[in-house]
Amino acid sequence: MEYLIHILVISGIYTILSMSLNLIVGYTGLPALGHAAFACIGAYTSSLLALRLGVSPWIGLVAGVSLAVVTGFVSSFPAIRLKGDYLALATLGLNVIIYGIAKNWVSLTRGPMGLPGIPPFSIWGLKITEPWQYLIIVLIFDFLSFFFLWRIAESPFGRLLKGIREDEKAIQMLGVNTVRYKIAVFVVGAGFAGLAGVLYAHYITFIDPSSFTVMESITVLLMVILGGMANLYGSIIGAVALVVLPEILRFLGLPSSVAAPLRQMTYGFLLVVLMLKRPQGILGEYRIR
Amino acid sequence: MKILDVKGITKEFDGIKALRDVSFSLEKGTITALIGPNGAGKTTLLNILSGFLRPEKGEAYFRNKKITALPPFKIAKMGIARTFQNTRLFLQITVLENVLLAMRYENGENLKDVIFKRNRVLKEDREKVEQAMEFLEFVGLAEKRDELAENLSYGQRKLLELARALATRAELFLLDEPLAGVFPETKKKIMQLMEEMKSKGMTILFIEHIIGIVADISDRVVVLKHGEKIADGIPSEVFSDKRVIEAYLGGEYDT
Repeated sequence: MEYLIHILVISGIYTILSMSLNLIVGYTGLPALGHAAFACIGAYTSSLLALRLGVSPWIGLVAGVSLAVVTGFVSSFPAIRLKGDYLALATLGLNVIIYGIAKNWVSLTRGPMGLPGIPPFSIWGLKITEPWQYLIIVLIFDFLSFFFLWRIAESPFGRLLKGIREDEKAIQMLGVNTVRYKIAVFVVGAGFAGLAGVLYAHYITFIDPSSFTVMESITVLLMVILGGMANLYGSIIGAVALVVLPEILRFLGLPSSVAAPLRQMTYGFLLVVLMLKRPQGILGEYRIR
Repeated sequence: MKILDVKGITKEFDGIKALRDVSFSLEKGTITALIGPNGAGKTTLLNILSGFLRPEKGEAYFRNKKITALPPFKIAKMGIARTFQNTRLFLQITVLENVLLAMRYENGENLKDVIFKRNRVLKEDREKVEQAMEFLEFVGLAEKRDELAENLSYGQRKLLELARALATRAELFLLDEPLAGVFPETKKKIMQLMEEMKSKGMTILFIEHIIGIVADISDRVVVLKHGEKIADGIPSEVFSDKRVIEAYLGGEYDT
């Protein structure tokens, strides 16, 4: 039971990542490959504040999200001037930089040794240590994230994002300053990714740079594509599916030397089949051309 | 009243002059045709007037305000709309949404408002949908409202792009070959719509190749050849101009 709840908590955290990345990739059509970088900033900010200064994780959450937002804002300036593959590479570069900082700034982050003993959230003195308690918290944040992202995506604002995705030049011709919207999307996406990072850190109570690699960003992107571009429900399905799937593989009783690579191969295989058979994803409304 | 004033525009691409010192002006409420053989610089001129290209020399003024150094979205906001030769629609969204994207919202495009003032945004959206439907009815695509734009025929795409341009509530319309490649029915329809736009006081500058059409609906014709303006006047005068006849009927073989 506890194991099942654990999987749900992890799914819930990934859901926030995939929904917010969908806003950037699916709705606005910006191929961003660095979502884990913002989660990294959120996780490290709140963990370090708690460990070094004894700050409450709740305040750490606000700080983590804020710093992720600021990073998103700053990194959006070079990023929005790039298109397509170049943007993908630039965001990938951002991920590598943030990862590099987390790994090499040893005096602050302890580098590859990671940060153990991150305190859990607490409500009125009650420490949230049981997985089911944490599940409730994650679900509340999932709901809130969905609520905000839904209102952004399913509105004239969201329609505008789709317009940018479809033809940026044409929508400029209609009097839209697309730069403004692209920055906004980056900032919002980064903020939610930061939130996911904070939730992850205080749940697992240990973080190290290896949780925030480019591979992690690609996994989140895969969730978005699998679930469906420009569909928030799809992102929930994508996140849950890609968290649960490897767990099922675990029950096949394979030795771990086979299971781990098999998991990667399954991801890869899934992506290939998806692109061939249903390029818009399970619930998607948009195909990459 | 002069609505557009183009003064001495020169545009070079890698040293090749696409436009040389082109000047003309447009009167409000008129239809002007921009004609000329392939490579004359017609589309380049539209690209400059809509802000996608910057000229090396010369300026353009829209209602006495300089537009040649402005980004496309600012020019569009001032009241210049444009369509493209092969249409540039938002293909993977609906016909109605294509038109809605041409309308600027007060609350609906504001991040804070869409999150915290959902009801006001939805109300605004309903009003915009009503207005958008009027434009779709105007071009005769009302029953296609929920169709994806990619499912429209070529002619319907041209009509939708025109509806989208109209929905910006522009005063000046730059239409790049609005009549090319469509069936005679649609062609007639688009010409009719252009006349109607004119009667509503809108100004049109359009590119066209077929002289007959140009003579039918234009008040004025501007002729470009190799980037230079070779004629400018009412159709009957322009089409009896020796240089224009040469440019079109090939009095010389160097083209």
